[in-house]
Amino acid sequence: MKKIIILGISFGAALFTLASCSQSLLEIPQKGVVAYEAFYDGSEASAESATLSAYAAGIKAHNLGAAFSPHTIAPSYYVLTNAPSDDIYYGSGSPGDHVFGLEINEYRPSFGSNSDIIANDYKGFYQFIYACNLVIDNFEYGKSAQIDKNISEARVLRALAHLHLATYWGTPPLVDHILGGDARPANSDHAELMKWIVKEFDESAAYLPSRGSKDNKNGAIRLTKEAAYALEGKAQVQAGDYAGAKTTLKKVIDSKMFDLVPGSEMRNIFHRAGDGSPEKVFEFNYVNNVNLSAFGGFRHFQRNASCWWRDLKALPDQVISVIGWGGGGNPSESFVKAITENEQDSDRRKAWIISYEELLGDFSYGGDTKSKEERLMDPDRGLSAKSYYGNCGWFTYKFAPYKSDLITNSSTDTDNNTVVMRYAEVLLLYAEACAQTGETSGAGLEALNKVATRAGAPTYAALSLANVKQEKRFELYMEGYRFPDLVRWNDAATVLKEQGKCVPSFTDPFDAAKGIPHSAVIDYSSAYYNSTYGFKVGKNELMPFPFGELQLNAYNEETGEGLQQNPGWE
Amino acid sequence: MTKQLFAKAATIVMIFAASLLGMSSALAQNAPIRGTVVDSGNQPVIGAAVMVPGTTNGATTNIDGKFELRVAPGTTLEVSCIGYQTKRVAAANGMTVVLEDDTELLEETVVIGYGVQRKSDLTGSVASVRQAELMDRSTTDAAAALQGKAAGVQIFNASGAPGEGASIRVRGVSSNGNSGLGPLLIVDGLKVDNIQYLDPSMIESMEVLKDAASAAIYGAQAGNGVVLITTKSGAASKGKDGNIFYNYKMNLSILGKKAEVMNADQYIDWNEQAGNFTRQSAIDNGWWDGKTVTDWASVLFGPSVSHNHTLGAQGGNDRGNYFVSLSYADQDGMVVGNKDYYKRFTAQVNADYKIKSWFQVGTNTSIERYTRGSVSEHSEYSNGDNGTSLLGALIIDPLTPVYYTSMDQMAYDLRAAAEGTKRPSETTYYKVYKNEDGYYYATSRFQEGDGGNPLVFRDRANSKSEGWNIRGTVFANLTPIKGLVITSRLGYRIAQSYSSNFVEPYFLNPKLYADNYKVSATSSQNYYYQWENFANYNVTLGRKHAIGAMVGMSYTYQDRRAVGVQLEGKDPLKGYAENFRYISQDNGSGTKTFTGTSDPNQNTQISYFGRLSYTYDNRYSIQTNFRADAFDSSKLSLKNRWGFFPSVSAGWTISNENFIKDNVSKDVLSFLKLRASWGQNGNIAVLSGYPYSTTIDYNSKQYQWDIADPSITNGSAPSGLANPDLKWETSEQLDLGIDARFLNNRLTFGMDWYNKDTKDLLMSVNPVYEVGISSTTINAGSINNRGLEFELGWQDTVGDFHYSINANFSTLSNKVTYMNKSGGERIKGAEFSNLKMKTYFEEGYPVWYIRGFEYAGVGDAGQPLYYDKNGEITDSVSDDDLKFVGSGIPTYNYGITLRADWKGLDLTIFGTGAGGNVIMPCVYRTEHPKINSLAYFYENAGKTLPTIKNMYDNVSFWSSSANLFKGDYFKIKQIQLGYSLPKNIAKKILLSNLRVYVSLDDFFTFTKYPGFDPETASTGSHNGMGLDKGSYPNSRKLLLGVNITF
Repeated sequence: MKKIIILGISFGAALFTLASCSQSLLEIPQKGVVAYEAFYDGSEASAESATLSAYAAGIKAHNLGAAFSPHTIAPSYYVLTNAPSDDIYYGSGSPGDHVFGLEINEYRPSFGSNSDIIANDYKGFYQFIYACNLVIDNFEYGKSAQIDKNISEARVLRALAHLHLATYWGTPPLVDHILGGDARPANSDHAELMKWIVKEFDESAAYLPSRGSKDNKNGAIRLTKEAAYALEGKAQVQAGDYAGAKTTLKKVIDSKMFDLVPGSEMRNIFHRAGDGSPEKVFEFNYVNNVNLSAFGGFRHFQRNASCWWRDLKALPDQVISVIGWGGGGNPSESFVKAITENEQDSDRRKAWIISYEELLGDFSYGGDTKSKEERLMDPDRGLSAKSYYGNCGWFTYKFAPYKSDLITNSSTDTDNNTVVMRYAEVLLLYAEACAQTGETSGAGLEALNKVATRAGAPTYAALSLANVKQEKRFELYMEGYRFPDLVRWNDAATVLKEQGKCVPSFTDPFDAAKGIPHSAVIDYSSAYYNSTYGFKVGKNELMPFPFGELQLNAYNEETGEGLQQNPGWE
Repeated sequence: MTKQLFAKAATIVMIFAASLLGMSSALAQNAPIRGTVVDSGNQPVIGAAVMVPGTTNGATTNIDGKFELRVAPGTTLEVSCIGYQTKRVAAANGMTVVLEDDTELLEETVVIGYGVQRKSDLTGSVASVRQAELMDRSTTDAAAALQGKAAGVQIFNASGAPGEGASIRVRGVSSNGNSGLGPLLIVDGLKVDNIQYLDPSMIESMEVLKDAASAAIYGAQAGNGVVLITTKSGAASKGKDGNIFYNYKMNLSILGKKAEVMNADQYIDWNEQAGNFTRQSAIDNGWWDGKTVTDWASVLFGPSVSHNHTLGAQGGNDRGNYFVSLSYADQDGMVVGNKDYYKRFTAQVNADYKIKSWFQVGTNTSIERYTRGSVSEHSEYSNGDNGTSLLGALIIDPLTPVYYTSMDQMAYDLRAAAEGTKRPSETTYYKVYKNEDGYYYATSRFQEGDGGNPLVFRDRANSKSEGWNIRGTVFANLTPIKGLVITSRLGYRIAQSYSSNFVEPYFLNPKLYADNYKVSATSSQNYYYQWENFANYNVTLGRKHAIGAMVGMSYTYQDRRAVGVQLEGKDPLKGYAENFRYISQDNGSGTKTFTGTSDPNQNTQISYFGRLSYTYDNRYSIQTNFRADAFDSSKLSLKNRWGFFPSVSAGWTISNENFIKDNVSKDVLSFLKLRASWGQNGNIAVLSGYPYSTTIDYNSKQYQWDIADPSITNGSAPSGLANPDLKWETSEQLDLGIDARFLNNRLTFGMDWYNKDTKDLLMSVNPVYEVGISSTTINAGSINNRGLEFELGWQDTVGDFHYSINANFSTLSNKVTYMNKSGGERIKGAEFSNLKMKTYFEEGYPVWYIRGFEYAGVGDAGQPLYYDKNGEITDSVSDDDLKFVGSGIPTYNYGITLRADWKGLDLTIFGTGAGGNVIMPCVYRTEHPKINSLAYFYENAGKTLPTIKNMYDNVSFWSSSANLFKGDYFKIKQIQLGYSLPKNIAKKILLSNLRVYVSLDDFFTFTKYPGFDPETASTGSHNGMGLDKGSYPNSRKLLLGVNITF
């Protein structure tokens, strides 16, 4: 018996000893990661890698904002910048579809701080800024020319993000270093913020390389000295420093690193064929690469969502087969009227917008060689729906994605670049700076007419702010500048007074049996009317700070910490 | 193990041994006394011991219950057998001894962690479900079989799809996460990830450790309770002949509760009133032929047949036991066609053997092979890649035919795609689906985005999964001295799985199409092992002091890895016939991605645990548990790694006090005990992926530095904000209970009250937006669950008629009691379309409650009215007026089981229900106003609901409580009638038992919810409880079965 006891106890003891071996069993290294300190080691390779992440964050911010959510199926930045303007009807399928865009476009009362568009964009820009600060805070000037360049690129990108924020929110917090998790940032002073932005562009430009030649396509997709100055000039115009803007923008024009493409190529500016053209000052790059995730902010779902071409039986051969799954953007009656009265069938007008008859009659469908008359009697093209909401019989062609833009094996993802700034804007900003300082002729007029001439539009006899405003509206249609310009020029209250009051639909009286060809007829009796609409002075100049942000960072009167909501918003 | 159990086992062994001796050395001085031992039902009792007390003279009964013994007539004989009350009788030739069933439940034991305990000594709250309650059910899932059987245990069948496992919740929901809400599952000592593989027929008992004190022995993993399952061992037939059994059951399934959607006339009228279209315009536009009416639910769902076979053998003697069983389940789902099915083969081998009197070895092993085909569910979008989405069947309009008999009926685009003549560059690879008769499937002309024909989605996808699982333990028990058992147990799981999908392109309309093939395959292999060593010591000192002690340790290791690949393209394969649909048939043109590939993932754990219990004079019991757990570095930082989980519990058996014994008859009050327990548990499931650390996601960002070259350059960025202070999520629970039996044990009553506080919830919170990082994980919340649980039972025998009724009822109150507000006032959970009614996690409300507008009725103009934030009635609401409108968590659950048997006939009726929750049917979307919807809204429009004109595009209305329904239901889960052949007849055909039965399972549902099945209403994830996004509905089953034992 004793033997068994001893045996048992020693057996038990052995088991315990064996199994309770060292805690090193619990150390399992994490896979696929590098320690924070080990990564930011001050080396050139690390700086380049961190800088790339800043560009990647920039793409995302300019496309989807912070996230892809079903309710903002259209890219948030596109909606934010274009929907509030008088140039488009946001459209989409019906007044109840894609309300996130319609409520901004039509100034519906439902639009407010809880908009997903607002949150996505605001978050997206600060995520972009964080990615820039990771470069700026973790590396120092003076170690190597490459690192100096990397830090400067990050500073330009960071200033660009702040410029967007300042444009739409007025007094967003200035975030010039990495914040801790418990940060409670406060509103900035708009004028001070603009000064800081201008200074950042200016100081950084010194470290950046020149584009070298206007034909250097890769110079358009990575920041150059000229691009930094062009952005600086834009910031100066926005800040009202017209004299400074003239000097800065003149430097850009005189560098001869950019040029306008011929009028016949205008239709390619926003397509793959126009990527990196001499007209591009800075754009985010996409190249056919199927290994990248679709919605991670790289391969973009982008402009596909910007034109509602959905309710048509068939589409022209060169555009992708399904356009406008997610959003809207049809030219408004006022825009159509203004541009067609000014320049009729100019290269620009035909590249930017096309009429229903042109869409049906001027393009080949399935390789057909029919005459325009035959096409307009074709029962297999035209409206498939009874009426077309948010459309006055005209379509945006400027951003309609071409089949040639599609990446391999995709029917919706295109790889045309996201343009941040192009040379036409530089010329127009320069013209405006000159006009704002009272000039009526000279280099400013020359710049203005250069844009008009290329477009195939009538040139201007004299430089005036009114002429600049008109040309800027036409040239930069749906590029996101119209709304901020109206606000800046104090024109928003008048121009946008009745925005959203009436959203027309058109119908097609086509009847093959009776010999009635396709045409667009606007029927105001079936238009959509909002009871509350239009720009509110003292409120709509700025976007609301996101509801979620104010929940986290409410203003505290005692400490002065936290964010104050913009006037008129809750 | 308690002393009593040992003593009993020892007695039996001794009797057995003695009887063997007795027979061989029988003395010849007395004439043999022959007799028969029968039970109260006059059936022979086999293997009963008949002994002369105090001697070794005895015998055992044979298969006919007969014995023969040489003693003088009149000698006192003691007749005993397991399961019967021991009886002393005077010997007489030709005697018949009737043994009464041992209804004395006092000796019943329950399995607790790392040991067993007499039920009468329990101080914690443990629910025990025996095999009889699990047998002969149509489900093949052990978890589903537990439904309604134990108070405080909720079973969620989030889907009725074949092969879909049920999930278990013990005492509410104590976490905000989407995983790790279920209890720890232990089968024969092995920790398992699910119990779906366990056929209920293999289970001896299931115990649910509900209170913290019982569960504390499992420490960090026990925060959501523990379910201990014991499979059959063969010990039940100890001392008798072994047996061979075969069970077969077949069930016919038909769609259970159907969603009540608008019929054709209602649908047309709705749309006319909403201004979408008119009866005439629908015909004029060619959208409707003016006569078609389709009931889509009956198009998609049809009857199906499932089979289940179990063949096995079991037996045992004083040295060892064995149980071997093979089980095969073949389930066909209700979706018409063969896309949804579940086939499972399971073998269970349990054996133990006593090699020496002090050394026993054994094993429990289960081998499982399964294959499963599935269709998609839980989505409001009808164009799922994984087959038909069930919501599609609900919302497609009733005017669309199932298929077109003529191409003239097709929409322009569909016809173009079918003919392949228009837009050739796009239509080349579009596939337009036909039925077996060559007719094209129709699709709705009214609703392009959502009204896809569900049969197309069924046909285009082929989602399959299959795999092997081996689960088992091997153990050795060493008994060096009496009362001390040292156990060393190695448990292991080996899992291999393979899933594949082949999805074809399709075209229905320009909003519903896909032009790519997708071919994917994922293979994963996991293994797990645990090594546990523990010692149990039980001793009784001076007859009154019963002491039990247990101490042990465990080490576990888990390794998971998976490799998956997807091929996508317009024409990616060499061929498309059935035998070409594999990744390896890639023709080089497609896009390849590593979908489903993961890093090898390892987890380890070291634990020490112990238990001390003391019972004085069967009256006072006290028990304490302690566990220390440490997990690997993927969970918590070194400084917070160890978690310590104590518990204490006590019981007072009042009925054993003399003042009761002396004053109250056992026939009135048979048993009365009070219990109290307190303890702490952890929750490990929410911790994974190094949540406390911040590192660099190396090369996780991409940019391209060249305008034409498609190659990518990578960049790196941090993954988030570090939080090295992250610590265990801990639950603290207090439990008070009472167990009582009255009227000679015929009436049983149990009640428990518990209060469970879970603190330091792990939450992902957002810093202010300007920080630029979307979230970080902190310990930031507390949840309280509390409730009452009642169990009531009655059993009686009247002549040949025996019957019992058992009912349980439990309440649950769930509330978030604290939340760190740095992530905002509330956290958004699940949502549907553009509705403002969503689920939220917020202090002061139930977990993931539903927040919406509060509907107040109809205004004079037919417009909806609401209560605003001040409780005033208004017809215009803003987001400030959103408020709590309900919770998806049932506040009460109940189950009732009625059994009766009479002369071989047996009847079981079992029902279960839940209520107190609300359900939001995720059907109608103002964004797509022409979808079909629940008829309820049409029928009540202009009455209790606004007019259709005021309802159809009104987001606020659909975001209000008018769009919520009570989730209360009661289901009769089982009505079973069986007949067992009398034993003497069965014996003649060489059977020891033959039972045939017929059953209606899940047949009757009582609910006011107009959607599909209220039981399956969910988005499939925890934060979507109450949002019904079209789950696979449960079926009604007609079950026929036969059980044969040789």
